[in-house]
Amino acid sequence: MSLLRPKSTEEALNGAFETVKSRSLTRLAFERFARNKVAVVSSFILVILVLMAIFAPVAEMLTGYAMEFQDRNFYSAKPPNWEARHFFGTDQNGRDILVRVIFGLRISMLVALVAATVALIVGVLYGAISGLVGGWVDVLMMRFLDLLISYPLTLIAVIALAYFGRNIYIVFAIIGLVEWQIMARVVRGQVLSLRNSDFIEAARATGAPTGAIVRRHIIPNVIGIAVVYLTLTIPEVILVESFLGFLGLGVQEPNTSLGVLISEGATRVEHKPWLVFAPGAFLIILLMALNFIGDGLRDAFDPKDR
Amino acid sequence: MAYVLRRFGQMLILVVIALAAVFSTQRLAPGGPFDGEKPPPPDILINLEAYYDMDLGMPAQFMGYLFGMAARDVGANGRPGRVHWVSIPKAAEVSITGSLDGEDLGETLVVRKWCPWGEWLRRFVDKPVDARPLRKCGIVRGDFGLSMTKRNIYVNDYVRDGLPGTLKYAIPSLLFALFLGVPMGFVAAYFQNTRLDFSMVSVGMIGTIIPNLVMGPLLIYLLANQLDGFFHWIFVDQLEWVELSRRQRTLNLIPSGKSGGPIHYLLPTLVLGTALLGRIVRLSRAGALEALRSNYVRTARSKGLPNWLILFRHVLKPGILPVVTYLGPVSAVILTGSLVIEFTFSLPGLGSQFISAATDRDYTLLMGTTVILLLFVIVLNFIVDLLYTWLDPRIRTGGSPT
Amino acid sequence: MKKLLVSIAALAALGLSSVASAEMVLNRGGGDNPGSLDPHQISGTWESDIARDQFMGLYTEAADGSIIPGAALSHTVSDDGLTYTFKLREHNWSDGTPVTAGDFEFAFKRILDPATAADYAYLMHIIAGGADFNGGEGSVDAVGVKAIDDMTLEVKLASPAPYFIAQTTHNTAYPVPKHVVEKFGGDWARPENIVVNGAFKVDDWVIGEKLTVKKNPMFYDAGNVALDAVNYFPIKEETAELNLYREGGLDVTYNMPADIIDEIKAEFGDEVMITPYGGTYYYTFNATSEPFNNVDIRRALSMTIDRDFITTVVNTSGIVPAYSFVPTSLPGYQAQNPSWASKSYDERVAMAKDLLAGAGYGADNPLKIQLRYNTNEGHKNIALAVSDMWAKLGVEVELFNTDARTHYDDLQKQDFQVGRAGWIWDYPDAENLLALMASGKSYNYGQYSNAEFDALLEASYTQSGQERIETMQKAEAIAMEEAALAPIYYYNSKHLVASYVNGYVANGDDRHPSRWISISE
Repeated sequence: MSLLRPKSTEEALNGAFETVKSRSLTRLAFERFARNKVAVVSSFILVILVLMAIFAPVAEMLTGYAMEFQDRNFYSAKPPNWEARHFFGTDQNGRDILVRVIFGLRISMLVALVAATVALIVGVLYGAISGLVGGWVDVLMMRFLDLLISYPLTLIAVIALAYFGRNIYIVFAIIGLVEWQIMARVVRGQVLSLRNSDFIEAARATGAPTGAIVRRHIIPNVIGIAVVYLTLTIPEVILVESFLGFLGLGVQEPNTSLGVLISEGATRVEHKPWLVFAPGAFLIILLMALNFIGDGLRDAFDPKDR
Repeated sequence: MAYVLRRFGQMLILVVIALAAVFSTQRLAPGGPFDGEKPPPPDILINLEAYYDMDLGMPAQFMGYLFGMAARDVGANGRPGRVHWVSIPKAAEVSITGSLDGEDLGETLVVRKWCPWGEWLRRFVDKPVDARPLRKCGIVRGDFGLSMTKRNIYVNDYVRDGLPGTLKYAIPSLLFALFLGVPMGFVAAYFQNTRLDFSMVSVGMIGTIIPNLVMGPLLIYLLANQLDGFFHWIFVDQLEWVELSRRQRTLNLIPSGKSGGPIHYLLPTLVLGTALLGRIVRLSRAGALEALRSNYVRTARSKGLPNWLILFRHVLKPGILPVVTYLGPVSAVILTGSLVIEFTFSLPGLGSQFISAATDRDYTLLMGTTVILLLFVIVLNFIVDLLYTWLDPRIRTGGSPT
Repeated sequence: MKKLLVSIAALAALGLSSVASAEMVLNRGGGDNPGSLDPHQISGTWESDIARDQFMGLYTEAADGSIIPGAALSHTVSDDGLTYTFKLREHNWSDGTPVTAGDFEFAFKRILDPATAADYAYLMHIIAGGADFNGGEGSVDAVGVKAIDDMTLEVKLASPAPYFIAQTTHNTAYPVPKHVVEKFGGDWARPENIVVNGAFKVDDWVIGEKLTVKKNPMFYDAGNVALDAVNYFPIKEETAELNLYREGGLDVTYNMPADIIDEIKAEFGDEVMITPYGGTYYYTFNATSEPFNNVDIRRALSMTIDRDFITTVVNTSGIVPAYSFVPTSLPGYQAQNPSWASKSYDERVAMAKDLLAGAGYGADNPLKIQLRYNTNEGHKNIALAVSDMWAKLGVEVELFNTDARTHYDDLQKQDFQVGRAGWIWDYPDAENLLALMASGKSYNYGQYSNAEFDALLEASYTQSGQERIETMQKAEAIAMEEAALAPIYYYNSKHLVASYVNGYVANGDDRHPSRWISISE
C-alpha cells in the first residue's frame, strides 16, 4: 500500500553523503509539482491575479472609470449596470467596484508579499535557532513569543504609525513582524522533532558536520512545513491589514485593499450585497489558489516521499 | 512538579514584563483617554489626570497599578496630593469624593470588601492596606483598576461580563472544529489520494479560504436574510401556519446578530468553527499520514493486527500530535477571530472591549484585557506543552540534557 | 402541525431577551455602553438618557421636551437675574430618605470639586465661584449655592443666564443622595449601591449586553409611570440595531444607518422618526498657518462645498444643508448665512476660482491640502464628495483618517489643515456654539481669531433679551463671512419607533424620558 512506503535509515544515511543532492532535489520537486493538476491550475490562476494586479490600470481603460472617479449618477451604491459599464456596481461615492477591487487586489498582494516574506524569514530563523540551540535560550525565546502574541497588535500599529507617519510599507513591515510567531513556533516544533529523529542521529553518528546536517536535513524538512504555514500566514496577513483598515490604520482613501472593501461592504450585505461579493470573490479565489499551491509545494518538497 | 513551578515562575515574570511594556508604550500613542468630540477644558483635564493618578511619575503610576495605594493627601488646590503607599497616617485626609463615615483612619484597619483578595492579603500584612473610598488595590490583589473612559466601570467588571461573552461562541466553535476536523483528517489520511480524501480536505478548506471577514457577511446574507426570508414567505405568507407576534417582523429562525438566546450564537460559532476546521483537518491528516507511514505501524501491520486496532492504538496518538501543537496558536486564532466576529455580529465580548480599549486609549482597560489575554495564551500553551510531552515521548528530553 | 410551527417561532422568539409577559417592558436602543450611572461622571448623550430616567433635576422634561417642574415646585429670580431661589417638592429617594435642598447643595459642590474630576463640570461654571473652585483656585465655601432650609435652595450665578432654568434639566444639575455618596464614595453609583429620585432605578447591568431599569415605587409620580421596566441595549453598530428592531428585540432604536434610509423608509414607513437636532457638522480650517490664515482661501473652499448635493445624494437621511454655524432650529435666533449662500452653485465655483487665483493658486501652482477626518463610514463619504468638489478648483486634496482620539488630539494641537468636527449644543443657546470661534478657546480647533467677533461676544455676556441675541447674530455674521469654519449640515436625530409605543414624542433636544412612554396592547 502506498501509505506504507518505507523510509529507512539507510536511505537517510546515503543522503547525508550524496554531494549532488541540492540540484536534483529542486528538480524532483518541480517534476512532482507539475504532476499535481490542482496545484498547476492554481498557479495559473495566481499568475493571472498577479498580472491583473500589476496591470490594474487596464481595468480603468476597460470600464472607462478611474479608480477614484466619483460617478454622480451612480451615488449611494448602485447595483451592477452593464450599460453604464459598472459591471460590479458602484460604492457609496459612485466609484466603480470592479476597478476598485482590482486596485485593492494590488494593495492586498503587496501586503501579502512584503509581510509574508518578513514573516517567513524571521519566523524560520527564530524557530530554527530556538529549536537547534535548545536549553535556556529556547525557553527564553519561546516565552518572548508568548509575550508577543499577547501584545496588542493594534497598539503596535498605532504607535508605529504615529512615529513613522502613514507609510504603507511600514504598515506592511509591522504586519509581517507580528505574523511570524506561529511560523516560528511550528518550525521550532519541527526542528525539535527532527533533532531527535533517527536519521539525524545516524548522520551525526557518521560524523557529518553540524552545518551539513542543518543544510541537508533540517532545512529540506522544515521548508515544507514553513511553506504550508506561509500559505496560512498570507490570509492572516490580508486579514490583519483589513482589520487595521477597519480601525483607520490601513491604506488611506482613495486607495483601498480587498480587506477594506469587504469590511466596508460587510455591514451592508443585506441591502447591498454587491459591495461585499466582488471583493469577497477575489479574496476567496486568491486564497484558494495560494492554499492549493501551498499543498502542492509541500507534497513536492516532502523529503519523506522522495 | 518542579517543572510546573518553574513554568509558573516564568509566567509571572512574563506577565510583569508584558505589563511594563504595555504600560509604557501605550502612552506613546497619540491622543489620550480624555480626548474626544468634546475634550475637557484644560482645568478639568488636570482634575481628570489627578483622579487617575496620571499626575504622578511613570514608575509611581506603575507601582500603584501593581500594588495599589493606601491614600492620597488633599494637595494644593483641592486636587489629590502626596501618595501614601501602604498605610494612612493620622493626619492625612482622604481626598476623593466624600469622607469615610468619620472613621479614624490612623488606627482603624479598613479593607474595602470589594478589594478582591484583600482580606486574604491582610493575614500577611500587619498594616492598614487600603482605605480609599475609591478602589485602588493594585493587580496583586486582583484589581485591574478603573476604566479611564467609562468612569464608574472597573476593568474587573468588564472582564466579568466580557469573558463569558467570548467563550460563549469560542468554546462551541473549538469543539465543533475538533470533533468534526480530527475524524475528517483521519479519514482523509486513511484514504489518501482518493476522491474521499480530496473532498474531506476541500470541505475543511472552505473555512480556511473564506476568511471570517467574508464568511460572516456571507452567512448573514445566506442564512439570516435569504433563508429566513424564504421560510417567512412559505410559512407566514403562503401557508399561514405561523402568525408573528406584534413585535416580530421576521420569522427570525436564524438571527443575525446581537446577543440573546443560544440561537444568536449559531452564526458566530459557525464562522469561527469553520475557520478552525480547515487547519485541524490538514494537521490531523498530516499527523495521521506520518503515523501511517511510520515503522511501528508497518511492524504492527506485518504482525497482522486488525486495521481498527492499529488506527486506534498507533495512529490516534501521534496523529493528533500536530493538532495538539496547534492548540497553542489556536488561542491566537480565536483572539483575532473574536475581534472580527464580535464586530460582524455586534456581540459583546473581550474582542470588542479590546478594540475599544485600544482605539479609545483606555489605558487601564487595555492593560486589563492584555493580562487576561496573556494568561489565556500562556495557560493554553502550558497545557499544550504538558499534553505534548505526554503524547510524544521524543520531546520529553526537550531542553534538558539526555 | 400548525402548533408545532408556532412553538418553533416561540422558540426563536426566546432567543431574544424580551419575552412577552404581563409586565410592560420597553426595549430601547442604548447607543453605547454607559460609562457610569453617576450623573456627574458622564458626558455622552446615550448616558444622559439613562441618567434622565433615574434622576430628576430641579426642572425636568415633559414628553415633548418642554420644561416642567421636577424636584422644584417653583422658583423666583432676583431683579439682577443673578439669584435663583427654588422651592422644592416633597419627595423621597428610592431608599425612603427625603430629598432635601442639602442634597442639591452637596451635588452642585460635588460636581465642581476638582477631586470629582467631572468632565462636564464646566456647565456649572455659571454658578458664582464655580469656575474658580473647579479650576483649583477658589474654595468650596465661595460657591454660590446654599440650602436655606430643607425645602429651599438658593443659587447665585456669576452672570445673568436666561438659559439657567433649561440647564437645571441637564444631568450636571441632578441631585445626588448625600448620605449614600458619603457612605460609598466613588462607588455609590454602582448598581448595588445606587439611590435615585427618578422614575426608574437600575436593576441589572451586564456590560456590553443590557442595562435594565425598573420602575421606582418611591418616585413621587409613580402612579403615572406606565412602564414596569426599560431595557437599554448598548448597540453601537446601526445595522445590528436595525436587525434587532426587525426581529422584535427593540421597540425604539437609538439611531439608524444613514446610507440606507430610503430602504428603511420603504420597509418601516411611519415608524421612521427624523427630527432636527441641535448641532452642526462642520469642517474647521487651521487659521494659524498657511494657507488657511488667508480669508480668501477659506471662503473659496467653503463656498465650493455643494451642501445640497451632500444632503440629497451623499446622505439622504433628511439632514439640512448648513451655511451658518448656529442651527436654524434654534428658537428665537436668526441664523446668519454668508453673503454667497444665496448664489447658485456654479456662480460660487466661479467666484471661488477667482478668489484662489487672487491668492496665487492656479493650474500651474495648485493648492495642496490635507483633509482629516476620524474613521467612520459617513465621514469618509462626505470627505470623498467634498474632495471631489474641491478638485473642481484644481485643489489637490489628500485624505487622512485616524481614530477619534488621535483626530481630536491633532485638532487641539493645530496639527492639521482641514479637519472634520461636529458640535451638539449642551443647552439651546447660540452662545454655546459661538464660543467655539472665540480667540484662544480650547474647542476653537482652527484658532480662528477676530477682534471684532470677540468684542461682540464679550458684550453679549452682559446683555440680555433681544439685545443679546442681536449682538450674537452680528458676531456670527462676521465669522461666517470670514469662513471661520465651513458648516456642512445640521444634525438630526433618527429613531425607529414601533407603532405601539406611545409617548415617544419628537423634540429638538432628542430627549425622551421613559417616564412618559407606554405600550398599547
